[in-house]
Amino acid sequence: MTYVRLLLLCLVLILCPIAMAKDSTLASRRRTQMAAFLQLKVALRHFKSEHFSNAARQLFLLIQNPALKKQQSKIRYYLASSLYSMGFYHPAVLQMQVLVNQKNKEYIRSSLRKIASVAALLKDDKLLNYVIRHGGLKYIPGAEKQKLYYHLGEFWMRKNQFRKAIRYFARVRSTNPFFYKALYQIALAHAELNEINKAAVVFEQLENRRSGVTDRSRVAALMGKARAYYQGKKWNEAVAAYLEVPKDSVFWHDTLLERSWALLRGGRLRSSLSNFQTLHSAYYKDRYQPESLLLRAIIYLYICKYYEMEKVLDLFHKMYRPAYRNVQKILKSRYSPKTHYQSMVLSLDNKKIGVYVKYPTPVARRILDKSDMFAMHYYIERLKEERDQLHTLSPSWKRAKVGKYVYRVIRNRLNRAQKSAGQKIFKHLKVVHAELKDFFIQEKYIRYEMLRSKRGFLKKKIARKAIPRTSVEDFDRSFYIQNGYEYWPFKGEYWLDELGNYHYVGMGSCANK
Amino acid sequence: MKKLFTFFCLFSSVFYAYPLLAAGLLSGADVEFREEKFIKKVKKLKAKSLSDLVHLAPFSDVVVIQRRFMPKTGRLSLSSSASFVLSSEFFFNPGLEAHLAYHFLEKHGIEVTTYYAFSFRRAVTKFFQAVEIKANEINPITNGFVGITYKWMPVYGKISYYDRKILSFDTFLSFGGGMSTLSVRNSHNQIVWEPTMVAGIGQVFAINRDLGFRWDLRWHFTYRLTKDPVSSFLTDFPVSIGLIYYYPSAGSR
Repeated sequence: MTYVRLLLLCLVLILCPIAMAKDSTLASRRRTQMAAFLQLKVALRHFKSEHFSNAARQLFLLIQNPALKKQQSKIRYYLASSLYSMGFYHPAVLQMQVLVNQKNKEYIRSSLRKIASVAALLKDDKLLNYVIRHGGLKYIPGAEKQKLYYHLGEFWMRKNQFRKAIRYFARVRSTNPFFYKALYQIALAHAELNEINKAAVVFEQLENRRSGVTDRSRVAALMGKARAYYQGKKWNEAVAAYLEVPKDSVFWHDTLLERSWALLRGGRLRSSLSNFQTLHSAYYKDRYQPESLLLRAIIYLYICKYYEMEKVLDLFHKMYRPAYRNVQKILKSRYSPKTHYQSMVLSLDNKKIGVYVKYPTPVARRILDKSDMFAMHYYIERLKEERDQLHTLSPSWKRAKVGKYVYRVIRNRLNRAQKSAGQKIFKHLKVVHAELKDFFIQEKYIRYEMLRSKRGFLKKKIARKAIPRTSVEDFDRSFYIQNGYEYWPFKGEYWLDELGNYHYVGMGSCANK
Repeated sequence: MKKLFTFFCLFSSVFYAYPLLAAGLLSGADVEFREEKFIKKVKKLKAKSLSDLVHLAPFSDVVVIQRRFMPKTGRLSLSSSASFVLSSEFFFNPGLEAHLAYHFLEKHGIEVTTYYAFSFRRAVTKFFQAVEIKANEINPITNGFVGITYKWMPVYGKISYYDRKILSFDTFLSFGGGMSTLSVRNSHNQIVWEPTMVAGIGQVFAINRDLGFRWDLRWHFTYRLTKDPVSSFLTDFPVSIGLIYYYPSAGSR
């Protein structure tokens, strides 16, 4: 009996601490859970009072907390929203993609909406595709959806699927701010499909809908209309449309060369030559314009100014032969794509430090003006902005886990984007290389024509059949002055306000031909 | 004397005949000569940059025809200025001016001008007054004017501040007449109005297409119908600085 009692006592003595320990583990777990919930509550309070940095810091710690396993989606959503509000779009999108992949019904709608807006903001095709693949269109409300239709249209334009693109652009309603851009793209798609009249009509519609003289959409429509007429060989209409483009618009410089082509095709050689006084002024010395030099030489050929023509061709050779060789050298070089991108951007800013590959400035400008490169550069610049944004935050935030995470995501994305940009540059360089090669072949043809015509001209001169080369027009200009115009004799000096107003009044030299 | 006259005749005939011959009789050869000279220049040209191509055409073959920054034809202009009479030794005469003009052509217009000058005594005048000398009677000035002038704007131009700013300006000359009031009164203590001739020069610097900065300097020549021959002619030089506004607006482009 005594043994039994002793045994019972022993059992009690053994089991009691175990029971007590069990109780205390449960309590501590409950305490941990309570603390985690409290922390979550505080973090959400920070989020609601728009203290996003504090909210993100706490939520990032809580997301790994096993005590809040059931709340993980909620925490992730709020973490993503905090990062989004702080301007860290890439880390935010990563978190939202996890929510979308988990097919969490509660957060999928708002996550996709935010991803779509980031895709539009960063002009990121991959993100846009991601939204479409996950059925984002059904979750996105009216106005946002219209915006997405526009981006989808753009996407199909890039894929050269113009009919599909028109279908999406046509879905953008007139009340949406993207409507005018969509209208422009519709006209462009028609032009790409060689439906010139349709394109011109849509361009005109857009032009009439916009009232501001320098309004970007209106000017783009004018340019589009002029190009459509040119495509349709309506030279005079094309010239008239080009002339409507205001000088203080960003497109004006492009109109000069295009207008010169239209004038040449329309047989207005003197007017065509007038444009080159502007195009070849010191203001545009860094522009890539081999074509304009060749065109000027062709016009000189038409008006029998062979010495002038030779000088233009010589300059073309002097300017673009080194550029061509340089491009060739770059194409053979073995630098990483990232180095190529960085070097190109730096050489465009005329910086020397950090430039491993020296790009000719006009070529660099030309490549960066290409739409895909422009979008890529824009994307990288936004990423850099995110990186700079991180540097403005407190050191404690940067040292925290969330700070390190954000830094890692941005750094990786930046590296990847720069690499991809470098690869694109390489592709464009190949195009420029081929283009320049083609121009050099054309230059040879023009030189051949020049020599042939010069020989004929000299023969006539020796036979005394040639007429004196030019006669300078010398008449009174008071007509212009009386009608609100100013007339200045040209002294070889360029003024910014005179660009586009230089007129060639000289005569051709082959009147007897 | 006769020799001198003969020399003068010979000299003037050669002096005038040369340009006439050059312009008329020798014009064809001259053009050819100029052309040959220009071709030589083109052959020598070593173009290094795009802007060197400017030498591929004689400058006379290129003209600049552009819309005026501040057009005037058919526009009214209203200007108000602060003025100051430069010619008064005894008084300090700041004043106010107003001009209303109509420009029937770019270079020609008619302007109605009015001004009023205040008179403040200088130290020397105060001294004269102490010894009972009336300075305004010895040397009266015109302290008011209403008149009409013909405005001729033969010179226009522009100046630039490096590549940052281009400022257009017009230079004008004005001729006309009107009536002036003097700083003295007649025996009946009435304001005296005297006929005045006006000639002036000035400039308008365009701030925008409708508004400009204006300065002008005028010469007022007043004939005083008085028995005193010393002060029967009065001359004043008011200089004014102000703003000018053109109506209707030329728009922003």
